[in-house]
Amino acid sequence: MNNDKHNYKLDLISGIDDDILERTTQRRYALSQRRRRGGLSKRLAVIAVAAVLAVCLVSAGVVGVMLWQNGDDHGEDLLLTSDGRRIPIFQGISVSKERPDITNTAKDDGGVQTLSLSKKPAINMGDPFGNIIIGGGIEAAATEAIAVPSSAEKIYYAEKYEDVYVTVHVSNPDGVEILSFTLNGKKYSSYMFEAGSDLQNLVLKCNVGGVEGMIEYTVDGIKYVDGTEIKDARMEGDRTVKVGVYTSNQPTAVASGERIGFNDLSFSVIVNDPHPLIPKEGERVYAVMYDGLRIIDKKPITVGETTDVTFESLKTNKLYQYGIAAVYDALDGKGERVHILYSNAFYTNEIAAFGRFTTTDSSIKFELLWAEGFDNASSCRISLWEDDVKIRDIAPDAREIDGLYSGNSYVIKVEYDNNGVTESISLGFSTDKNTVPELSITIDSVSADSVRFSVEESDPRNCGKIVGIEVVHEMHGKTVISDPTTRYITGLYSDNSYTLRVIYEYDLNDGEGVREFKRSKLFNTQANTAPRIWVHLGERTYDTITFNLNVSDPDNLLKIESIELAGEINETIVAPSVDTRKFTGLCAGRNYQLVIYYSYDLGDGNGVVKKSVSTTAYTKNYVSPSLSLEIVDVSKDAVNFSISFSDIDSVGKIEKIELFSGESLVAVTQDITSGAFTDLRPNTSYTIRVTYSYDLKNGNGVSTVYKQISFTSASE
Amino acid sequence: MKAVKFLKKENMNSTKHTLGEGYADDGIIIELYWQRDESAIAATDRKYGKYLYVIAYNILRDSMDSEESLNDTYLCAWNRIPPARPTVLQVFLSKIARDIAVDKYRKRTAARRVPSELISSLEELDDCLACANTVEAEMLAREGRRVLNSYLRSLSKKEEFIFVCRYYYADSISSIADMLNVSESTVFRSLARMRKGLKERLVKEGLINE
Repeated sequence: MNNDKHNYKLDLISGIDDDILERTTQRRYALSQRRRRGGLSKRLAVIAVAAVLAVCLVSAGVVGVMLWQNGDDHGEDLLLTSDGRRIPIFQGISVSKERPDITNTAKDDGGVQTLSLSKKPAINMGDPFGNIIIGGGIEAAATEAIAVPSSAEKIYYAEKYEDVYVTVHVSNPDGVEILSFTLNGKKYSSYMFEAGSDLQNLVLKCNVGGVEGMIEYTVDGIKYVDGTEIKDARMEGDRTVKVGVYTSNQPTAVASGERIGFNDLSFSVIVNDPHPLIPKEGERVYAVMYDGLRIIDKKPITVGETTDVTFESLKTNKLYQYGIAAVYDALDGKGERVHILYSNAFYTNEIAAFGRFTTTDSSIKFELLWAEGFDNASSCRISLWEDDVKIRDIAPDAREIDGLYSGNSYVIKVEYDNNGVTESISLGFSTDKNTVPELSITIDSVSADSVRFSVEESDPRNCGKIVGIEVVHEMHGKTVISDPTTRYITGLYSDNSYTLRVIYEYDLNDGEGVREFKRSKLFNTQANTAPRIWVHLGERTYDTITFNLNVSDPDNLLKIESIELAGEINETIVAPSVDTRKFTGLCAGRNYQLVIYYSYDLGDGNGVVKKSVSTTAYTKNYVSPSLSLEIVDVSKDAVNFSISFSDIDSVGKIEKIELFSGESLVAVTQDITSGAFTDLRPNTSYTIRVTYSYDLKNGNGVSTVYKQISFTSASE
Repeated sequence: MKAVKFLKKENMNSTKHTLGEGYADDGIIIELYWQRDESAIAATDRKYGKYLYVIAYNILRDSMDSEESLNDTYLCAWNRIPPARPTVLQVFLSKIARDIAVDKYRKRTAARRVPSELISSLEELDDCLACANTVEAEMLAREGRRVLNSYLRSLSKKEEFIFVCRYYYADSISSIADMLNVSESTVFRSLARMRKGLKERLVKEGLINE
């Protein structure tokens, strides 16, 4: 009923609103902190007073008659001394390495200080899974897996022959005088207390001695002065405290006869605990199997006896670590915990394994190795995976897979049955990555109308080819070369800029299909030189003109269209051939115009240029004949005359010699050699006319002229 | 979650080195909880351990139980933060410590009666907070809490403080007097006056008979 009543009230009180609690709790915390700090000052004062009292009591020998009552017999109403002060109550005992600083050991911190020897683990078992540094490892896993019995017992630690300070904690708020107490049967009076003791903390220095293991200190019979009486303090706390003295004789384990199978491991182990430190009660030692993440199995081990251990259901070809884990207090200051006495890492045997493999950009060849005695190899299942998706199944006896994309990652998975359990091994690989081909264009030579080039391809995987060549002119567009093997292109305009473009297609076999790129090269065609002609005339004759042509035509562009000769009077003569260098049958003494018509095409896109060159030529003149007529002598009937006919070029002749008398023709002679007329009449006037002709062959035809002379015949 | 052994003193000590010897700011401690950093426990213990221990000890009057209660307080705080982000950490922890200690007290006293400051304080309330041992208990308890809170709000801050310390945290009269720097008799009289006032209020509300 009482409990129900209290519960009801507790419920009500627990229902105080949060804002009220927050307000008061903050204030309470602040005040309690201030109070605590003030309490420390007060304690210092009490220590000083207690020290003086202790000295006084001892020096005065005031022990008096000791009357005490068993603390258990005290009722609630008997917790005061005769003068109304609260009686001292023993609350606990603790041990420390250093003399305790009483001012810093407030009652509500339990007065407990744990010491650590900082001993390294006796066994260094390596780090086969590389996880110890991040808090993993077999020891951490075993600590998780094995229950460490919790103990309310506080154990303190020391090394051999070390002095420790045993502090007896007494609740003595009213500063009742503590007279003495008994520790392990030996009585210690107040004057024996260590400096720093006060009326609530009685400090003794003890040496733990040379014995390793656990030492117990038990306190009893705390006496205090009540007026004139000496009484026993109430004993409420644990009277015994343990001090563990570290021993180097830690438990050990030796494993032997290790046999590793596909799925199991067996060995024998013996654990020795010479000191002993491993408690006898309960299962404290296990063989544990660690898979890198957790303890997957554990087997109890009997200390001091050879135990055969077999771990089964292991996975093939997997890294494991087994160890011998024991739960005990190593007396190293770290309390009862899991220790790994022995450990060894191993791989279970493998049934199947991949051997050597070689890849290309589209295939893989691999070896698959099977353990001897494994009978299910032929029924294995091989499959090809990409990105966790199965691409295809592979025949069990196939050791080559093709049709793969280059630069892709695949996994070959081999599944096989091992004692009814499907196991698998995998081989991850990447096909060789095809590199994007590269090519460079080199212009080897350029003429006025052509280009010769070469293309250097860098395509080690031979995954591409030239599929097109183009020549691009800014004005005239592109010309596609039909034959991609062409490396010489003609028909270009001279003195022009072109872009040579090579188109390359390639397929990296990476699933992206055919791609292309173009590489270009600029070049300029050479410029052609315009031809020139000079005419050189030959020796002149009366009826021919000869000539030669001097030609400058380095690019051989010249084409002589025609050669013409235009005269002053006759029609233009066109040479029958452009090779003609001589005109004949011309008129003598005439000027002619010799014209050479020619053309050329520079090939620069501007078309054929027509030009001509001319010169004046002339034929040689014939000299006209000249005639002189003289009378040599005249008689009455005859006359002698002389004719001088000068005809250098023989173009003339004397046609006739006539004798006129008046207008009448008297006589004609053809003989130009006679030079005489006879039968003249005397004293008659006569005229001799000599007619001659000549042809200068200048196109004017024959010219006839005469020369005459008159005379009178002699008179009779 | 990785198991955390909160009361392993050596763990706390080792963490101490990383946090330094001073008291961490509450914000930093809360952030450590949020980061799931176990040093949050050590920091909490260093700053509030003794304070929380006293809360538990006032109720339980047993060092072992109080230690255990303290450990449970840390575990509870670890589980609640996150998602909780306490505005005042000491209040947050105080309530947890007190609730856990009271819960432990209930379980323990179901078997036997153990003298403690809590018993003393509760017995003081016998006169004004009688047990509602009826079918209407739950309703009355709810109404009782409403009246109680209303009454507390009517008190001065000092009286409110004394009431909460005494009956919620089960502080001894002397410690309350010490905190307020007043005499024990002053606290005692104040408590008597408040109990009388609360009773009158409850009677007026018809929750208890005169």
